Amino acid sequence: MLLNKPRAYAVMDKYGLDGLLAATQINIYYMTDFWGALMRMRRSFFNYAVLPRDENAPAALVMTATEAQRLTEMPTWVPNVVTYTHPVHAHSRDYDTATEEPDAGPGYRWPVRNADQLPPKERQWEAMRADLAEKNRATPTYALRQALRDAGLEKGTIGTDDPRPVEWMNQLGLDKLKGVEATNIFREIRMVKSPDELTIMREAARINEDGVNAAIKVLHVGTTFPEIERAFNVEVAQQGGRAVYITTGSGGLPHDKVTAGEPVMLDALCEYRHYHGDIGRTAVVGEPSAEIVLRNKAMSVGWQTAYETIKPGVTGRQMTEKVLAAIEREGFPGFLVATPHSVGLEHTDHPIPIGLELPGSRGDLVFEENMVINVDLPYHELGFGGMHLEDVIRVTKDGCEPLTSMKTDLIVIPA
Amino acid sequence: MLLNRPRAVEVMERHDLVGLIAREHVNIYYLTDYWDTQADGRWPYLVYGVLPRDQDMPAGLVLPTVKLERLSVWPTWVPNIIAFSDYSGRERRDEGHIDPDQGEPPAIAWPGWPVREGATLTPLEQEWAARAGAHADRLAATPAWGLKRALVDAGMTRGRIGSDDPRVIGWLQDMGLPGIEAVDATNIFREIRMVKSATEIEILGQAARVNEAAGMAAAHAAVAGATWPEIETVYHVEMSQRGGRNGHIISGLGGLPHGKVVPGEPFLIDALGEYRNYFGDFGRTVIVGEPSAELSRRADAMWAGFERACEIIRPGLKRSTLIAEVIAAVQKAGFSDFFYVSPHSLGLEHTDHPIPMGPTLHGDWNDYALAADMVINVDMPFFEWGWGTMHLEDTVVVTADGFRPLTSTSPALIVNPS
Repeated sequence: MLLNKPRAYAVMDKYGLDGLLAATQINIYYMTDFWGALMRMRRSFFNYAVLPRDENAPAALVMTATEAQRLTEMPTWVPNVVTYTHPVHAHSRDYDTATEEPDAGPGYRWPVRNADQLPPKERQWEAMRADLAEKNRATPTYALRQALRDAGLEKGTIGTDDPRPVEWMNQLGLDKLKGVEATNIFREIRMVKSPDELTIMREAARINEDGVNAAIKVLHVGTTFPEIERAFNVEVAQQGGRAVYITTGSGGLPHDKVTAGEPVMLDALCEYRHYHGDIGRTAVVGEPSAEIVLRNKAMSVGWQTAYETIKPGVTGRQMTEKVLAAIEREGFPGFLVATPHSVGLEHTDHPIPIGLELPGSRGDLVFEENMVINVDLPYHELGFGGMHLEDVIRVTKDGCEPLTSMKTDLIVIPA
Repeated sequence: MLLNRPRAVEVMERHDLVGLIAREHVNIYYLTDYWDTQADGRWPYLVYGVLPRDQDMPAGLVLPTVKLERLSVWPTWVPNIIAFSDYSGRERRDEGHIDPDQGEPPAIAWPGWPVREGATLTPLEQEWAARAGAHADRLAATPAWGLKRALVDAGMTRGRIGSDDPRVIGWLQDMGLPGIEAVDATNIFREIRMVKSATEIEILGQAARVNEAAGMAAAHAAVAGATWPEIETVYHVEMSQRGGRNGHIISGLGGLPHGKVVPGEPFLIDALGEYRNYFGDFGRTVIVGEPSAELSRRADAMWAGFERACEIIRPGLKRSTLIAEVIAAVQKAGFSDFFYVSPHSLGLEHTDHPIPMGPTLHGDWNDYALAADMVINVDMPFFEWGWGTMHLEDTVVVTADGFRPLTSTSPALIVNPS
């Protein structure tokens, strides 16, 4: 189970919530372990997840009946799977939607040949279809209403990452249901990882580091950015991940290609089972100048300082101040960015100010055990080049544990 | 320009909108041509696109100041670029929320990355320095304040504004724009996007070719005993090698019935991959070993269905007619159990046309008519437990008097030696 259930309950209690409703894909996945084909297609409002605060009430997953067999590939712990059929001829004009529910119809039923000789998987799919068909609803919205009713949340106050479904529930007769903006509440839950998440994130970190190392291997004088990107993307794909991006700085390579003696920053992000790995390195083709060597050493000391500083209770601000001071002390006075961020289903997997909130208004980021943290140390200097260091760590009870290699030495490639 | 601007104006007029705000990454990209790393890392609310209906007013793009350089890689046609402070704020503490009566709070300074004294900058570096310099003294305090500026500059301070995330409009009302009204534009964006611009058709053509090639590589890797992860990896690697991004390839929704490829049992591949953030979508039937007479007949019948689609696809054709005609053609050709066809517009979403959401039902508005420059997939899956699965799916662009294929329309059945 990806969900850190005890933390979810504690955070719901903190905000006085009776439950959570997830409409965005990463939160649906987080709450149910399920990632459906429609989610991959970027289709919004066709899947939902419901987590009631009442531990005896059933959590729910809303999904299309057409995809039911996918549950054998991506099983969910959620006890209440509510499917819908989308009858194509049902028309709103034929119903008073506040009081009537359209007939779901039978849904698609694929033909079966030699039913008594089906392989186990097909028997399972057919049984699953028949089981779920008993409570098919017409649309995702009606299925969500059923899930909320089953969870006893018809009149509850629920946190949601999109307010629209709550408005639709109000229109469909659940007029006492109240929604609370929960984009950052979900992040607050997610920022402390469960054991299953940590298992995935170790693999994501490993694959991502292999990807960036593959990109480094293609560096030579004249390498272009697309060549770097391809090497990273292919390696990550080869290992079952999905490349998200690799950058050599926001604008690409200053000379449009790698040049001898100019440091190149690499910042790479991949997904493995929808969780991110994130890493940064500095490479130089040819003999590095003494200045580059000194700067990289200073950044390495900065990273080591971060590693030694981070533990439960320490704030991001405290870490940043120590890291910047260490880098300056080591002879790199112009270094200015040391940003810790939680990583997970989002690149920045902790609450971030949104809407009318000002930067910093949520207070300091405070490290907790089982947070997975990246410390971002990027540096660009026009006319000099780019540098970067970034590794992934897990916060332990009294310190931290690396998930990447922490090989922070300058990477020097013969010209 | 990805945006089909004449259509956007026409659709905005139809919905009585003064403009659009894009918060979803695909819509920001569509309005501005700019794709941010924030989009890939799943950060919402850091980048916005703004499109006023009045074409004399400036469209806007709101982005973090440290991403200004990225406009060299993903240039935008949008004239009004508004950068907000980044790296300035994540650890800065300012208690409380914005007081709208106090106006926009001061932004934290960001002069851009340092410039080495005496260095000769490359043309790109000169461009980056110029961008940073041009924005340094007018940074917005936050993304939301940047968005407000973009709306004011675009003259969108009152009236109905469509957004794919209406909560953003609520924030703007609280920030001193009480005269604007929120309209959920999730499907309005789709309504605009379903008729493609020339640039989009070009990209979708490339996406179709890359995705088909990767799908075919995966199909040919399906030897007896191969598992789905092995086949999937071939697809993902091939996509990456061709400059696409590995997406999603399935063989039915529950995987292979036997957990591996079995000679003589047909199975489908359905590949959905991205190229420059647009989807390619391609489907075929694969068989290892000699196909049975029944399988060959069924594959021929499905091809006859696709040929029927090709005969009738032209502007004005209703989706329901296309479905009925294809099913009838497949059945007439001898595949009587075939019953499901799902034509869908393809683009930045797999289903790139308005889709019922909320309390609306499928029958309300799903029967759209084809129009020139729509890119359409004719999706023809078939499952029969105890026998196997089949699929035929190609991509075409609707032209003034018919269609042009974007996939190669290769044979329906892929036969691998046993």
